Amino acid sequence: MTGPRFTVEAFHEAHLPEGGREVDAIVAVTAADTAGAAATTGSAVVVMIDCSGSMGDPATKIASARRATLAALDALPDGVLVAVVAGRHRAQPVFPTAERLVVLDRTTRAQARAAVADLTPSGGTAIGTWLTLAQRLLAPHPRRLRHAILLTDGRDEHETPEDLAAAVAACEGVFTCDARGVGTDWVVEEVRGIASALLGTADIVAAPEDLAADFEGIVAGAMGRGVGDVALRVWAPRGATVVSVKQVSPTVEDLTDRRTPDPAKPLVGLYPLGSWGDETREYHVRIALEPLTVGEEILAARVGVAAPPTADTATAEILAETRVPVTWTGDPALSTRLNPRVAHYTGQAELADAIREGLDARRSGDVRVATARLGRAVALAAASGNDETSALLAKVVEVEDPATGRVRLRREVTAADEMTLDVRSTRTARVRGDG
Amino acid sequence: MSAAVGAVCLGCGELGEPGDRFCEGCGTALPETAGPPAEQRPGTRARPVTARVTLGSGPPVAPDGPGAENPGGPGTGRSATTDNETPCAACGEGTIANPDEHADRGFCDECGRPGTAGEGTVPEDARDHAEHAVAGAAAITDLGRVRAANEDAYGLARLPLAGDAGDLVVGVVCDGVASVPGSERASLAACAAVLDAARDALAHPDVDDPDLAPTGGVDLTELAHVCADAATEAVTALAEGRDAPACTYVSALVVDEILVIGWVGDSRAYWLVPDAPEESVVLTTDDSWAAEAVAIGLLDADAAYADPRAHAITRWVAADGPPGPAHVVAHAADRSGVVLICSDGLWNHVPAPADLARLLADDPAETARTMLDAALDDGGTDNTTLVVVDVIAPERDAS
Repeated sequence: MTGPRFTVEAFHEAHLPEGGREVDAIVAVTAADTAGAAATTGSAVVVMIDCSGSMGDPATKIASARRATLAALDALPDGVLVAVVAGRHRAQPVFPTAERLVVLDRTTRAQARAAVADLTPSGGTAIGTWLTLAQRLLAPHPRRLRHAILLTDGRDEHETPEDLAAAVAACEGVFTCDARGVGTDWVVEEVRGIASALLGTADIVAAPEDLAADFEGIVAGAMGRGVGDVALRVWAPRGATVVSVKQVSPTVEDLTDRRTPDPAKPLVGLYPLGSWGDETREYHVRIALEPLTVGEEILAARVGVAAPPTADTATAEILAETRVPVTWTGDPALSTRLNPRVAHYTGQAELADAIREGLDARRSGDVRVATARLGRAVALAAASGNDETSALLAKVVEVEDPATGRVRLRREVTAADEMTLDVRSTRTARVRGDG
Repeated sequence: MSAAVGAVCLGCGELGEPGDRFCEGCGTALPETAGPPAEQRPGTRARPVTARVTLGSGPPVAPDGPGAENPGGPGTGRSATTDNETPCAACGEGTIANPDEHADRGFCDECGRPGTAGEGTVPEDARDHAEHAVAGAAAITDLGRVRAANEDAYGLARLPLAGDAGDLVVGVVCDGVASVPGSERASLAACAAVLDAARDALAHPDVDDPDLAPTGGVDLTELAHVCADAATEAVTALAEGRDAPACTYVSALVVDEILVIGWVGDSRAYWLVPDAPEESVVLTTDDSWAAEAVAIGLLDADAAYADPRAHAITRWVAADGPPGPAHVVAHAADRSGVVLICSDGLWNHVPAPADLARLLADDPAETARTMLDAALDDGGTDNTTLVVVDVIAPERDAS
């Protein structure tokens, strides 16, 4: 069996103007042949279901949550380690009822179904306690691909934001987590923050009846991953600064603050990327350099994918790497070029920012800023061919001219439409022509 | 040797080459001579670099001489595990990382500068003293303590070869002939032309010839001639009216353990063995009055080099230079060492290979400065220019 293969490709302009300092590169990382027998049976999955009192109002919410959990269990193959956690103001292991994982087989499936059928709404919401329990369940299984699914319908109100942040931080590097909000009474920023930190996806499931299909999709995605725990490896020369590292496709994620140095190589930073299926993700790396004289060349960065150092290895093992050389030039025709891919993803990151700033202004009643920012978002989405985001924006603003971004705020906007736009604001379009 | 004989200078007694109009020794106009030009050296083109000899303690073998067609024996093949990591000349701290499958050349793992950083020729506004360094090689030139102007020049480049063949280091030293106006331009033009010619040749490799795989599809022997021809062409273009600026020429092409030397005139190449200085050798034979006087049996070496005409050169690069291709010799080093090419400003002061080998320092730039200092400390009577290049032989079992 051939192992998974990574390929890395950099897109950047190779010339800087005289005195120029900053180099921007888009680095496309593609994983192939990740599917393997070990991938499915080597997984461990915890499902966290909000069972607070509000899940019973209306009752279809808790019923849909039960069905979705069963759908997720059905989609998991035998051999996977599982647990189901009921989330209230504290976490309760409901399957198994002890604090451990069980191997999924015919017998344990039946037991799990019975336990899930007994999930009932009561109590409050302290999501940090749910995550802490998931962390304790998954921590003893470092050789498994560890993943969690979190469902909430409400605000995290029975703990402080600091409690939640601490719980999330403790889970980083232990498992990845897809987070979902059902209904419209939950807080986009909380759900997005959990998924972002735990390298998973965040989304809204406005209609409870859509939950089961969504959970099936999550499990299919998680089971399609065969490579866990790789890191983006960024080397910059002595004296240079790695200004920012952002994932820009399929979604925008700022990874800059997640750098850990390679213990053996201080010039190398490692940024955790979680688990991979056969897919392509793209990253925007910005490096600041001390300018050299015109005609001089420097390697601004080596960017690659690495398996993080373990107890047995002193340094991260490079799985694939590409390089970003730049030359200072006095020729403006060369130095003023803007790489199309860098421009595209810079625009996509600005698009995500414009949506969030526009929605924030709208919520605080600042019509002028909301109109300006959402108008800018409309223009960026139209220009970059981000049709999905364009459609979501059109539900919040009336678009008069997409090219210039002339819009008017809609008077009546459903909470679901606004939250959908918000939670999906980080989804980026690929460069046109990429398919 | 050619049967043709040049005129003897009435001013200083210098023996000119056929076709000379001015004396190389003192610049006096020479009497006209007749006769055919110097004999063309045949058959030195397109010789694959695989025809090479092992650098041992014996004398180097000229390509025209016996043995050139047959390698000195097996056992000098390129090792697949050759360590291509060379210290960075730019920062002196990192190493030039092995080019990997995605890369076409190496960059320093500390400062990020390419192994080719620091290549070039003597800047026109810094002729009195200049230095360049690339990974594994360094060049230096200096006015010296006596001369009013520096007519020497060098060129140095580290160029990536096709495939996984690593890099080619090109070094060239030219010594402008003082008796002809404009020779300081000749030496620099020649050096620049050599680097251009090498870059151009590397851009068009013959990747289909398996014999040339170790050098990335480049025939280094052929390239040595191409470089010398390019230098001649560049210098010839400088000739105006009766003035034909002129210079000597010595070049070194080095890929790992393979080294090819080309020369015209009395600038020299040396093979220096740091661990065994006594085994160092001169790789060139001077095109000089003394060397030729010894070669034709006119005088013994002591008497020839004691003669005031000893250092008068018999070949040089110029529009009016004696025709014929440059001397080219190819070697494969059987151990790691350093190849030195230099103007007579160095070897007049430190002629012995073993003495030069004892000046080798930890890195090429330091070696270059140490050798220059040796010439200056001994009087610095002439412009002094040298290029040193590390030659990395594949690891072999200790015998």
